[in-house]
Amino acid sequence: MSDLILELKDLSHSYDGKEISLNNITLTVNKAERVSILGPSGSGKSTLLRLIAGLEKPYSGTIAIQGKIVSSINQMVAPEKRNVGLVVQEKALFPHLTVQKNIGFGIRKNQDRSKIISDLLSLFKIEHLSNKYPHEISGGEQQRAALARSMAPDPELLMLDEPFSALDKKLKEELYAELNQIFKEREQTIVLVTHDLDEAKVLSEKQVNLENT
Amino acid sequence: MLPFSLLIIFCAPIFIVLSSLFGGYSDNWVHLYNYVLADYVSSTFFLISGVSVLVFFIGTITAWIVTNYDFYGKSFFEWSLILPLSIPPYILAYTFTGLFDPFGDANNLIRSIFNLGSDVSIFPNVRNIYGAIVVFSFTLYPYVYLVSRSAFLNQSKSMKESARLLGLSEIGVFFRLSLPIIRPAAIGGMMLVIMETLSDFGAVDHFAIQTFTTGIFRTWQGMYDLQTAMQLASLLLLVVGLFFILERSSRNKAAFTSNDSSFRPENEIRLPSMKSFWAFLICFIPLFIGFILPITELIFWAFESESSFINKKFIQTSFNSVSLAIISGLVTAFLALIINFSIRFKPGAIIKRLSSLLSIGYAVPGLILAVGMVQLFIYIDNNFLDSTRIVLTGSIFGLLLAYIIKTYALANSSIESGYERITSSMDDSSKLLGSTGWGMLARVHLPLLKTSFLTATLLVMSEVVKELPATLILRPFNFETLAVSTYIYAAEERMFQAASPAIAIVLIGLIPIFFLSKMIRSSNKSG
Repeated sequence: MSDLILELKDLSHSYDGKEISLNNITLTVNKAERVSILGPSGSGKSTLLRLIAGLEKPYSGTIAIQGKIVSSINQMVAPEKRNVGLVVQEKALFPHLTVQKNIGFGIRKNQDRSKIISDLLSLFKIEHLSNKYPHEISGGEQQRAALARSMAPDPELLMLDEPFSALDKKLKEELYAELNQIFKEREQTIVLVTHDLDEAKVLSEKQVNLENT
Repeated sequence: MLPFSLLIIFCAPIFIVLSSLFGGYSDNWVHLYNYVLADYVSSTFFLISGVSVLVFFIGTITAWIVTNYDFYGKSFFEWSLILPLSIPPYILAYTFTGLFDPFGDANNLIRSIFNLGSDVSIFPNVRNIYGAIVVFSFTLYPYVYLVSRSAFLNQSKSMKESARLLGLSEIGVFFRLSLPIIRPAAIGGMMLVIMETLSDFGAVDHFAIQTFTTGIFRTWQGMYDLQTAMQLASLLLLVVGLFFILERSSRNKAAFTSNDSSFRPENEIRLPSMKSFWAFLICFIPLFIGFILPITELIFWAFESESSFINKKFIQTSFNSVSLAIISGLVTAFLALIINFSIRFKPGAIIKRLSSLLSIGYAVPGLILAVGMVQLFIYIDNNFLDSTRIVLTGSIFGLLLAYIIKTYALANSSIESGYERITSSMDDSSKLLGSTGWGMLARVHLPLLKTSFLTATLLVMSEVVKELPATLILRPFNFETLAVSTYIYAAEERMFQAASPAIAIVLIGLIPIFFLSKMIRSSNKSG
């Protein structure tokens, strides 16, 4: 199998069919590679992740995941069939489910469900929060839970959309160290969107400025 | 497709009523036009003018006092001032005449205390338009109170302090600053009160006031002229439509009054004992007239009644009302859920517009809806179903449909506000984790919308149990609900027997009020 996980070719996007929000993006990401997308506000960083996740349709160009075209003008593979994960800055945990149930949400048919949940709880050091609801835990703990939830289905590609921007500096630094270790151990392919160059350097090997692509 | 089909069904009775304007005009219309239409217009106009002024004062002043001052009973009044919403105007009208008629309980009590002769009547006659103004104002002022309270809570402390530094007294701040700022919101509440007043049939009928609704009912049930009744209904519908548009536009203008819902104003000013007493009294009077007085009178009647409070007939009518309420509540809440779910995934101006049009039924008086539906059902029965007998006309189905059309807006607003709290990131996460479409509705939306769904169901149930004119006209033969039973007993002046169904209506109406007041109390704690 090829090492190529993600391939974007001449990808453009427009919300209204008139103004172009992303113009001719070409990018490749290999297995276990960690890539950061940088760029000023409004440059279309988050839109790019939503396009890869299948939450937006491209205006032109193609997106291929593991060599298979998943988005083009004529073709759209549903988000749940792309085997990608997405963690966003805002709180996207389901407020009616405990941390444990949030993590297990995407793997309900998996026979190893309990083991996966407990492994991830331990990996992200949130075992003690397993029966808590999102509103009962801190912002940093919520982001750990959100990361664990997105990694539970073992996605080929994990996308992070400024996931730490709401956290304080000390908490961020703690998380960076832990996440680097987790991502390396699991050989997790990452696409990180951030406006923070330091964060990009710590968490990824390759930085792409959206203005220069 | 669903919103479009529903829109056709929801609007059909309204179009049928309006289409009567282009049909032939009978002698009855000529008679009404020449002799009574002017009375209908003038008394309706006088009634809504009086009610508007009174509810504006009661609603805004009580809201101002409870949001700005600390006085004895403040935390109790904050939520209890909405209790009169559980009393339909027609029930307050029945208890008013029971109390204040020359031989009513209040006059009898005064006479017995002061040993006065039976020809002495202390209280003025309430069976007139002034009595009706009082009745509507004291049951409907909570609409203005609720929006005004919320708007006052959002007014900033620094703004009021600047006004004081610029020379305004406390009262000056109220009249020259706070009141003008909340005016659009309060006017929006007032428009709702006017629409409710225009829709009423029970209270004005009891007081024998000639308004549009009593005129429509008499033209149809007395003259047996459905066409003329529809023509009268069309005129009323146009007036209601005007207030509906005014309410919508006030709602848009009111946006600036509520910039931040979590904002709490300054520490309340602690009132000295004498002023505290006046604040208590100002808040107590509307609660007393709109809730305590009618409840006390109803309980008194229930004890005085010779027949058992809970008899076979009461159980049957309660069962009828509650079953209709539960079915309508669940169906309406479910429809609102499905429509809002569709809007979320097919966002577009057309579907949103269609959905907001579905709420039009709330503004249409129950009597007009019933008139339109009867005409529609007669047409369907004669042309599409068995023309030798009636199938839809006078059926439970027709009644349920009218309730759903009338209450859809209530369910929709509750579900819509519930959906506003579900972020699009949650939808995205759900999609990426494999729950899409109905799966997302069942696993993510429905659990999160539990409270909204329950609130929607309860609001619809409470409205259905109270609804009188539509039930009176559309019910199957010999089928009685609590509202119909109360109306019939009251029309026969059998007030003691009217007590048990009336109390049941109030108790059911109290359920959503209880939830609403709980929300008010918890918003105070969190603030």
